[in-house]
Amino acid sequence: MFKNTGSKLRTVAKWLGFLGVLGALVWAVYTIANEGDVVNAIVTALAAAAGSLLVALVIHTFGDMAVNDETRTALAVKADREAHGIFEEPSKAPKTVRRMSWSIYMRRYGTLYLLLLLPIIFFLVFRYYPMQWIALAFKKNDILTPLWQVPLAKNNGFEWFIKAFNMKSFRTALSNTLTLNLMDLICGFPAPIILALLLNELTFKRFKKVTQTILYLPHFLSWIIISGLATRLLADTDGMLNILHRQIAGSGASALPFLSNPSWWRWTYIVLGIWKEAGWGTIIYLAALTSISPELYEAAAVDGAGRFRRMWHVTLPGLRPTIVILLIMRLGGILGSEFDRPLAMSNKLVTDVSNVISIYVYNYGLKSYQYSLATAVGLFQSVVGVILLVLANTFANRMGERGIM
Amino acid sequence: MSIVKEANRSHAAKGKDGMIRNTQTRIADWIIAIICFIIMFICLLPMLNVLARSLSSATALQRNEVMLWPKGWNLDAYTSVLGNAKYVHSLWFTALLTIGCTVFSLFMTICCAYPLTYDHLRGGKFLNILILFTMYFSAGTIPHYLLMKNLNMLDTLWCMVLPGCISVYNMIVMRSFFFGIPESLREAAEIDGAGPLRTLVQIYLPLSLPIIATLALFYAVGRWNGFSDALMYIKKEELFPIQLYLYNVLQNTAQAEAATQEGFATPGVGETIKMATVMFATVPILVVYPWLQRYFIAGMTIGAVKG
Repeated sequence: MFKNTGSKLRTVAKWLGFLGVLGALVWAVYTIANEGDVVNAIVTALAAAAGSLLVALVIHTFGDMAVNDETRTALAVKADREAHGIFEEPSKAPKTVRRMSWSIYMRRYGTLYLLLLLPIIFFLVFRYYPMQWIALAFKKNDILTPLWQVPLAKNNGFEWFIKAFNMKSFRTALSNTLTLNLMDLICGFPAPIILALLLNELTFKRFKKVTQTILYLPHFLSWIIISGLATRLLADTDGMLNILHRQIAGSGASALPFLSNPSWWRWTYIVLGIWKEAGWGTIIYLAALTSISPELYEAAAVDGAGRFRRMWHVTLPGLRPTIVILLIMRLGGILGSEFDRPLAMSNKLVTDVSNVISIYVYNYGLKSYQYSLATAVGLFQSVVGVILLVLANTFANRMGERGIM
Repeated sequence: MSIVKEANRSHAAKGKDGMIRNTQTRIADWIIAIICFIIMFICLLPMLNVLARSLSSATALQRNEVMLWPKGWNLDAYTSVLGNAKYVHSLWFTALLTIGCTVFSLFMTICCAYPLTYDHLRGGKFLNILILFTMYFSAGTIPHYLLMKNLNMLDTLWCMVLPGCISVYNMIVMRSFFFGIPESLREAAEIDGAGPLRTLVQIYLPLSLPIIATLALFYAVGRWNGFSDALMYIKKEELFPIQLYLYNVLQNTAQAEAATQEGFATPGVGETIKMATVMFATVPILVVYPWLQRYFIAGMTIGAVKG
């Protein structure tokens, strides 16, 4: 989109990272020399260095993205032009615009900034302004005095992090988050692929359309509604499946504890997730399928490949880039936690396996007024989340696939 | 080779996709269709069950006779739900809130996306990064709560409208769609003397109706289904959106269920009413989304490819 943005960004990122680490070192030496508090100095320096490296990494990734974009666009434009026998430079309008003086530019395009005014105010007020309260994670639990007057918490401000990691409930929440996300990944990720392959093989066009419409339906239902539906279907005493089970196995049979037994509940949670999102997930794969050349199928058929071999040797390889990207992004989001889903699905009997980090933050922060602790946990989650996402994206770019950033 | 021969022997016909079809592949086609039908049925099963329950008599429910077909047909549950003033109020309130939010969100999203499509926009790179950054790092639940508290927005309408009014993802989808509109149109308009605003209103918006429909659907469904913000910020009952109302109703059921498990209470009374409540919250979405299917598939695909 912009010329050379990418390489400029990368340079900026490298300098920023370098200067950040250097500054942190200088700062550490300076503090040790002046105050003699080694631990404090080292912790602060490490935090500063890590922070600047993180910012640098993010900017660097943006740079990578831009470079990818630029080269790809340039190559595509060039190929397109050559295919049409056009070799001259593209339109020169942007260059004249770039040379325009500020006053003329503003007179002609000032409306654009007027349009941007409200959105920018929105982002500053509702996205950046609240970031100041992140500082609460390092301060005493006090929201009534102005933020900058609140004293630092114990252990150089890391009291809440240390406390959280020593709490059983937080460790449970962390492991629940990872367990549920991993199960979701392993079971939920292949589901839309299989479904898309199936739909792709469906030859009855009108029936296919109806099927798709119905498969997309659950995506539009909220988790609250789904929990309502699921309870009626799966409840121990009067759920439909248990009524059926009793009719088959005799009335003396013990109920299937879909929602009341913790390990059963986990699977219910996963299966309902698949039920909700698998159909919606096929959209992306079906779109990718349309770009596979029909000639490949014909060639395969002529070579004697049956339905399954065509699926295996033509369709799946055609889907590979999409699968890789989505998989990497899912891995990047492994520490994220939804809020609606576990909250709506949970009940008293299964809180040990259903409490994830977002629920923990809600319970401790907003219900028990432990603002600092909850902010610290939230900060931990989002920082690790960003790092994982950036790593995933860099990895995707390395593999030659285009990431989402 | 053998397939071709076999196909010839069984009076092969060429399908629409150019594949050679014989009896064997036709059977496979039917098997796949049947599998798809079963999946479709599983998709609808919970809905059918709840629908049947909402239309059944309370006694039939208590005797556990209702599966997918109502027993003791009646509409009592629906009439009593419509007689519940609080619920009807919540339903209306959410409908109006959804419409308002959708219009406002679309306005903000267009305002944000359109200027960013000008590649000579001065400061555009900076704004781009400023906006994209919020997609990957957010301050978190507590800071957002404290923001609402400090802006005195707790327990007001605004805390459900403003914080979510631009979704960066949707903004990117819209921008990608704008990028797809040929630049020559814009240049022609500029030469004819149209300013950016006029170009937007007279050229870009009429061409972008499909994506506007898609994003309207996404925003509307998001607001209709959203409840975590209301749960955290709203204590006043007259501002409860439908999902929060539903959550409270169903949560009582779930706790009663758990209590039954432990051998305390009897199964909840007014079961059919709860089911009718669920149905009312679901129907508006069922009515709207199939009509927009063509569009949102395109919207999803743009977002995925260009995001």
